[in-house]
Amino acid sequence: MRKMWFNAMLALILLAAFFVRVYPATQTGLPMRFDSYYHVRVAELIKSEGEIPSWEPWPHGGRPHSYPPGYHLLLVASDLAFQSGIIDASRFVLPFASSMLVVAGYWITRKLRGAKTALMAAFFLAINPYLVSASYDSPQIIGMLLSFFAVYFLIKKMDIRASLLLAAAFFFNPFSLAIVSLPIALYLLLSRGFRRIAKAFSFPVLAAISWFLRNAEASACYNNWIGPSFIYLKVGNWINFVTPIFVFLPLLALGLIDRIGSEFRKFWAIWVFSISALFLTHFISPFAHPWRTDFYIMVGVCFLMADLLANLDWRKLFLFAAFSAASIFSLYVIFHASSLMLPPLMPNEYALVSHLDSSSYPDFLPLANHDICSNILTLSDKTCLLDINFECIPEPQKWHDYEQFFWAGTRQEMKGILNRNQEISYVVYSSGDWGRSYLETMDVDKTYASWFGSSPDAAVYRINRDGGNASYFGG
Amino acid sequence: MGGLLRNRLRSLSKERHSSAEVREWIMAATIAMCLLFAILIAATAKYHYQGDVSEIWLSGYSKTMREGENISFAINTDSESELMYAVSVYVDGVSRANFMTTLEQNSINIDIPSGFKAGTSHRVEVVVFDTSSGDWYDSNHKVFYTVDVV
Repeated sequence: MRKMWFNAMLALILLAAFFVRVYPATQTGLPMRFDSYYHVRVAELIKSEGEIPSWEPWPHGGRPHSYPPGYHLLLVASDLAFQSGIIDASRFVLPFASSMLVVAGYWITRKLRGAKTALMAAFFLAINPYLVSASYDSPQIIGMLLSFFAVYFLIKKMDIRASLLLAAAFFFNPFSLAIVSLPIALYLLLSRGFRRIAKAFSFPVLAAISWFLRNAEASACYNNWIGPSFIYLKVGNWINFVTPIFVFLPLLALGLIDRIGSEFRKFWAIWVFSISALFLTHFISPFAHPWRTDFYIMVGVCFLMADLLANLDWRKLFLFAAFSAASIFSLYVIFHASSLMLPPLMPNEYALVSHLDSSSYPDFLPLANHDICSNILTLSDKTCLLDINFECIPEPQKWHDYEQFFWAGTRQEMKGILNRNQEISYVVYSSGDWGRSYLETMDVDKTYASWFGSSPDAAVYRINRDGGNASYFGG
Repeated sequence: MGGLLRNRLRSLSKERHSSAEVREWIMAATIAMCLLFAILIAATAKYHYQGDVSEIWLSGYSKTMREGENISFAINTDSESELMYAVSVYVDGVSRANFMTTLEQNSINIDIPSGFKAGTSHRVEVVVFDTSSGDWYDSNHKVFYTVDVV
């Protein structure tokens, strides 16, 4: 391919990668995913207090702060640099970092495998629907970006540099470090590099220890068993539905390997195999469900497919075209047929949050699902009993009750939860929450309702307690 | 421009191209087409829910009242829709007042005789029906409160 055409293709890839990630962020006035609402609060806290907190005031009563500060400091820095406000910074930092993933993917592949493979890798990374969809959610994008360079240095046997980058990844997103550690450790093990393992993980381990020592109180409350069980109730069907994709694509890529041939190919083959195996553990138990592992599988698939298909024969050209078409079709589904590119709450739910912000309810201590609570805590001056971040839950039994309230199978169960947790003075329902018919049989006041089209009400219920207990209306 | 293109096509037709070159062109064309589709997909997607939000909330109500007192409270409304809604006030499931209104920003005062006896509890309910679409069973919108008569 002539240089001019090559450069034009590369420019188009980078332009498209940037556009499909950043343009959606310009279209909504609020962050597009739930997790951002938590990170915005932490960044605002750091900005107002001028230091990294060891305690956070959310949800009601507060809890030890456990999330490493890399992303929050980046949000504060972006806000100071562009005077954008933290919430606007949070809308753009991750999509921008996700665009940089494509640039970084091109750079490391070009260095290790040449221009043509790099062009293909950048193309696959640019249009992969799962990578695009993950561009708004979590600082794992930044963890992944740092890990790309760490992988480059590992393959080049510059282990200390890789180690420093992995330590930096820990400060942005410990989860991404945990996930990428699996293929990295396997790769080094298979290369009989025991000393290299020690070198590669020295700085990340030091970073983790120093963070946990600083936040010893938070380290003690890593009892994260509630989040997976309740989030799995919501996403379990989706996970089972898309599991064949996350099995088929890695199998296809691994099946195309005729010989290992290069360290680059060996590394990404190990990556794809090990993370796919990790992903499948969700069949064993929802507690072992690996969050967002699809994202990591797809990164490996993109690199491996690029490497395997770059020397095109007619059969590989057909596979290349089929993989590209499938990616574009899935991208279409994500943008046009799913709600993934829509705001996380319905407009009437935002109206409810705004109403709470501008109203005065006496003794207001509401129970809402963790998504609504997270929005109430970020967008209003009111408190709430749950939050989106499950990493350090102060009172597990109470938290479990609060979550279970919205999955109660009988009104007796719901009443039991209200009576065990007498601090609940209000219940805030989203349009999608289950169980309002049970609640309305109790002595409650429904003082606010908002709806959107034909949606069920998003509503505020006050619990009328008799001697502290909830009762059924009419006895 | 047309002449340039014609000349280029003529020269291409005279050149012999290897199979590898043809495959590269197909790859480049696939990449370019997919990227343009990706941009088109992102540019034409909807990033907002389409429709109107309506809100109702209660104020000025009392949790206790004396025997013989009227039921008195305000229904506050705010809506982006200009539709007419049927609003009914029910007391213990019995309709006590009905009227039609839009839900534009407003505060409607309700004052109706109760006929309650001391020592009893009652549920006062405001139900809003969308008359344009025809609400079916239990798909209406409502707010309510309970009152104890002393």
